[in-house]
Amino acid sequence: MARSCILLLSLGLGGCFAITDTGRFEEDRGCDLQLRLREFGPHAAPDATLRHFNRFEVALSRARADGAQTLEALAVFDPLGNATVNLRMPNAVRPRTDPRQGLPAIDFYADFDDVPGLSRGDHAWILEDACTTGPEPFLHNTGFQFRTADAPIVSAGVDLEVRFCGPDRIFDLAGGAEVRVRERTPEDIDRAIGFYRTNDANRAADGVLLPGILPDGGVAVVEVLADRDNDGRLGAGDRAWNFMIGDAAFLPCGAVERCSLLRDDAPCFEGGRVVVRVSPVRATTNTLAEERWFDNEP
Amino acid sequence: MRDRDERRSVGLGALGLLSLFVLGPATAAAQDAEDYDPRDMRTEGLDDDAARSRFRVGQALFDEGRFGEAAREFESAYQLSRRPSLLFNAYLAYRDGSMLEDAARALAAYLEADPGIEDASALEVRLRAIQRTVDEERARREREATEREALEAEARRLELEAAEARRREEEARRLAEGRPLNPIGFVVGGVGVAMLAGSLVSGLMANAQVGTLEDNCPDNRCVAGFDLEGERARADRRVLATDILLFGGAAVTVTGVVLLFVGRRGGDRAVEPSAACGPTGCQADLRVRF
Repeated sequence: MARSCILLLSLGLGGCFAITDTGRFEEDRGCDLQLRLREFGPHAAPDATLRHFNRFEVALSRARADGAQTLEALAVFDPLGNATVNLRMPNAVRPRTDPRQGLPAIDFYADFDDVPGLSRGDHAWILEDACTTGPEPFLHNTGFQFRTADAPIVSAGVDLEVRFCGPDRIFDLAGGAEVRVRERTPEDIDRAIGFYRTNDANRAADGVLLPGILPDGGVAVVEVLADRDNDGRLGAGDRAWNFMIGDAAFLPCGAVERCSLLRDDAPCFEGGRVVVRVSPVRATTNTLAEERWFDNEP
Repeated sequence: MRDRDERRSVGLGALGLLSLFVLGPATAAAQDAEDYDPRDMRTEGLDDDAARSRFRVGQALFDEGRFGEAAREFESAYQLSRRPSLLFNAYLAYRDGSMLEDAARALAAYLEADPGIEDASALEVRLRAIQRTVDEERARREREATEREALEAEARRLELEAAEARRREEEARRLAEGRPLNPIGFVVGGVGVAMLAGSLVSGLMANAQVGTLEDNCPDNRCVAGFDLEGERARADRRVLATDILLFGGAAVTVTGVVLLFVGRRGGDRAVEPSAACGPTGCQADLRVRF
């Protein structure tokens, strides 16, 4: 009897092993954060009277080992500007470093009720696995999804404020404005962590705030594009600047004015956020790390 | 129809016979001369009391259809009186009782005892006919007896053969039950079971290895820094070893079980080892029959 049991157990276990395919395991290399929006016409244009209407935010987050759904990257379209939008933030999705971490999720919403931030009156959706579902075209629908109140997205990073300084706010209040933020990892890999885009510089006249995206104590690169022709890339007539944020950025801004006009003005720390000041006198750059982070290709 | 007529005439004859005993010999003789019928019973000279008494008993038995007993009474009466006509009566009774052999005997005795009877020739013809019938009947009985004996002998032979077959079958069964299993089967089967046990151990190890992979690769994506290739190679080796041991062990076990029974051959040995040495060296053979 005992021998029969052992034999059966062996056969049963062996049957499991016989079909075990270890090829299904693969290394988690992370991926670009992609979001391909289709038929999002209702959120393409702003309302003339409502400040926040159709501000569109994309948040990449992941459950950490302790269970907290933590922000890893943030993108803002103010507003989308087109019914078809393809967002691609390079290397934004990090590989998992702890098996207890969850899958990276993409939460995105269009502010539809003009109440700042995500609220129940907005149009919101969630994609659970950024690397597999993100590249798939997403058609606008009314199956809105919201995170439960007991599992909100929290931020572990520091806010970044990009201030536009100067008599003409650098953009001459014409064309678009774009901010790209990348984290530089110890392995010298740049990972996109923040993005802001508007086709109307008036909506960002005072600057841009990307809350909680900067790693505390890490190194980040901020690129600012004055996109006068609104094509999303640095071209003739456009201007661009870049800034390196390191430990020095966490030094207090001190007596420096809110908007200095110094050529080598460095990022500093003020009011609990890192501040980057962009002014006409600051040296521009001729190149950006990537040509563009979004397009409107169908 | 003829039988009924005969019975009726016998009855009439018996009645005449009875009156003859009552009226006396003279009357009886006169009546014989007038109403003689060869089928009727004959009563000439029956004047002896004892014989007459036997005759009456015979007559009564005859009337009841108890022909054999009647015939024997008539013959007893004949023994007492020595009157041949009683033999004729015995003949009639035997004949009506379908005892043709006795009828022929009685009729022959009658013809011999009284050679001068008028219808002797007719009776002799009848006697021969009866004897032919008796002979034929006897021959038939002998033939049937011979056939029956042959059939009985055949039945006995078949029964003996069946009994012998049963005995052999029982003996074969007893031999089969007592026959030892093939030791080669035990050895091969043991190896197979050992391989299966090995597959169990190897399987548990492989399971643990795959578990390590699953623990570090949620959703099949392994965390950064995890030695995926190394762990996968270890798991694959163990899985492969498990599968080989499992399927190989199963095949060897089945082979062993088959060998256990295939190698059973009566008193013959399924395994015959032999060894011999000569001037040029030694040789060992292991002959296995399966």
